[in-house]
Amino acid sequence: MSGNRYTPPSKNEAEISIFGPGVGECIVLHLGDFEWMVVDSCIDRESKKPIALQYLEKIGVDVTTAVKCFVATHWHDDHISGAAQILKACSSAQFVCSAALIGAEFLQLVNLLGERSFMGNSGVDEFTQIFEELIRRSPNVRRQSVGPTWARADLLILRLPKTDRSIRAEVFALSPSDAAITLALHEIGQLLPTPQTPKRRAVAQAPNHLSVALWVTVENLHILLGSDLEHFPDERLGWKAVLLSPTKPSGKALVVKVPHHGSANAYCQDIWFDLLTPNPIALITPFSSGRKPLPTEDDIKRIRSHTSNIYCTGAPHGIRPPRLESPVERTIREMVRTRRVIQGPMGHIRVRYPLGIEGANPTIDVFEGARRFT
Amino acid sequence: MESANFSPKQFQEESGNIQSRVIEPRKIGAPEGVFPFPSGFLIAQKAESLSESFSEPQAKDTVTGSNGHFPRIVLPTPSQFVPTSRFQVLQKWEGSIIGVSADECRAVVGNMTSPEAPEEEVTFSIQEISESDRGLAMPGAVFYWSVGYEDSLQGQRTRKSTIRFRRLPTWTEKELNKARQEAQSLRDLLVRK
Repeated sequence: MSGNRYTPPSKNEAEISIFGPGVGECIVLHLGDFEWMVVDSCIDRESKKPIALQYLEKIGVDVTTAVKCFVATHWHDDHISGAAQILKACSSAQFVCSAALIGAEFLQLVNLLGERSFMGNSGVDEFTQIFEELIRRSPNVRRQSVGPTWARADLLILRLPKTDRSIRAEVFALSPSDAAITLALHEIGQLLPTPQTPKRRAVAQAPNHLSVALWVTVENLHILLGSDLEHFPDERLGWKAVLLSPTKPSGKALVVKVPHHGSANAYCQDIWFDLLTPNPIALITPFSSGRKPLPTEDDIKRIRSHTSNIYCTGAPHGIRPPRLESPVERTIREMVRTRRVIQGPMGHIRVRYPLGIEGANPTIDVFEGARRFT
Repeated sequence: MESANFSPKQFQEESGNIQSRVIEPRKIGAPEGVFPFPSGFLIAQKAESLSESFSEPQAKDTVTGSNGHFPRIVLPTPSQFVPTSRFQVLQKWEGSIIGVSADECRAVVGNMTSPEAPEEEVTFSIQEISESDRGLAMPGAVFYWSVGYEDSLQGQRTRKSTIRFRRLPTWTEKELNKARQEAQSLRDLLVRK
């Protein structure tokens, strides 16, 4: 499977392109009628550009007008690298982020840790630039109205009605729940530095329950984008809260971006029955970080019990680092327990689906190290 | 304490690559072999640790030079501060801690020797960090990791790895209050009440 990577979709063809270099993910969706949305961002190692911009430009999309919406599902570095560049380039796109970031505490964190002088890039730093861009875009509007769309459960964040186009498209936020927002506000407050503590680079430690999971409907196609939303025993949080919502969108999704890189802590059996069609197309981005990179073999086995259509943007275990001088290699072997390159080739899975045709078959192509798990 | 016959040239040679500036005593009129004090015997520019190893020089008596009287300086024995080895760096990384558990650290490291090389993630035992730096090993902390050869003056070579944490200033109450106020102003712009 390897169609021409840079042939654009037709007007009546939905596309879900998911990119992952090992640590990081980005999703680009064609909502029909040559209009697009972008979810999260990561940087291409070779070009140093956000992969969403690179891909859209290569297939001939004018990102200044055709990208309608850009969602930053949460502020972890692996989901937001290059987000500010995307927002600047996609000048007519609405910016959406989690309502759990609405608190003064997060803005304070952005203010404190967004200083780029000594702390390097981070998710917080991206938000500094995003907020600057939002303010720059709206110099004359009244206060309190330049902000992002703060996504929360059951909020319709984008509607492209059929009156303006030939294809209906809607995007709903499924999370975070009210309880998750309350909890996140408290937890982000705890990340704030206190006097006399050393300055450090910002490390996103906020929990995944503030992530924005999305439900995208393009005509007769439903797509579930699970972000990093986790599963909790508490029914007010995570996937349980999504499933119990009386106002969640109806229908079953043919395509799912498996939440949190397929990890066990994001696995909720009921979403496979209640929200997805039988044998759906499961798309995974790996997380080649930590002692236990994701997805593990157990994770794949568990997902395989629900579908045989499992695709991953790259090798879960990352890439072997380049070899260094022999004495250096010996020292590394003696002192380092694990070592891996975290950014590999930008794996790309592309799903295209002809709209308005009942029972149509999707076309799935994989590029640059992306693979199907058989 | 011994008095030292220790010429500036010798000192400069023995202090290796430490960037320092030595003023020749003869140029300021002192007799050869006698160092005037405190008129700038050594201005160490990047040798804080070295200069800290000096004890206070002792003025025992004076000597007379062409430009007048100078205190005779008794220097501490050089064995306290003369480097006894040379470190040849083979590889250097800049790292940032991303996670710490009971016995190990997880960090992202960038190759400073070959900046074009991709970033790597490594985990290593907390024991690899010196006790004095261990308290600094927290998420977000920046460190430098060098691997190389240490050559002693006796000619012995040892392969060595060193991890040193960058010491950044601490947050002040004033900075935190300012951030609080600026966050409120930003919130007034971004959030509809």
